[in-house]
Amino acid sequence: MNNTSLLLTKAMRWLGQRGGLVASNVARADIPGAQARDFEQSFAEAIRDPKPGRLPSSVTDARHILPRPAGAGRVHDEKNVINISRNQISIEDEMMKLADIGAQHQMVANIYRKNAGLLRLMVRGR
Amino acid sequence: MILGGILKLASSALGAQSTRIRVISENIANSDSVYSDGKTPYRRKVTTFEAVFDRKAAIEQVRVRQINRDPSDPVRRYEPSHPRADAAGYVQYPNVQPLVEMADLRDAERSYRANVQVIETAKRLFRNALDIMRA
Repeated sequence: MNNTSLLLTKAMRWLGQRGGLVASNVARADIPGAQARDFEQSFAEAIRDPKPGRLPSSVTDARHILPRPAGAGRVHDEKNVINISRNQISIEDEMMKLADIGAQHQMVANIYRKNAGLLRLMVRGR
Repeated sequence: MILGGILKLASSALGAQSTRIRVISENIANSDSVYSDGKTPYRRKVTTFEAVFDRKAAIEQVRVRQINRDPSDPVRRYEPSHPRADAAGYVQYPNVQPLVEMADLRDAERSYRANVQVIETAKRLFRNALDIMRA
């Protein structure tokens, strides 16, 4: 598996895990005192800042993945809203995150397909 | 969390929300029930949820913790001709306020739809991953 494929696999796994956190937030939206959770780092930050003992994933060009303000690795509680259920989960924010995750996952899957197509092209020569 | 976990989590939330909707509909249906246990009028029910960690699936599911009775006083209306009227002519009606119930119903519906959307997104992520194999 080449570096690009490895990176894309990690990205998909990361998006799946973030989707799990968002799903948990939505499910707990009516529990009093519940707090929204999200990853502390974006995917770009997470692969630049690996856990001790692990090597960072290589990015072929610094412009390929732009740092995002919100975002993997450690999970933290978000404290930004207080709603009718007396908790700190905003369904609107979670829906926005969900749409974002869906779009990013689609993009990563498309890039993966293109990458696989290029590899096939190299092997077949046409 | 794998996609199957997301589906399980969202479905637990759907179950909890549908119970909430059922309780609200009970409240609305009984908003004029002056007899409940033979003595007192119907008392409004309130649903509370709790997050429970499912070790097997490694996810935090949502379930109904309890369905309590609202302890607020019944509504007193002056209807001297009513068979349930007391000596002063007042009838005790359930402490159900249709406006509050409708607002609660809309909130439950919104949460239900949000969880359905989570299931739709999880399915889309799964489809994206499967489509890679077709390429």
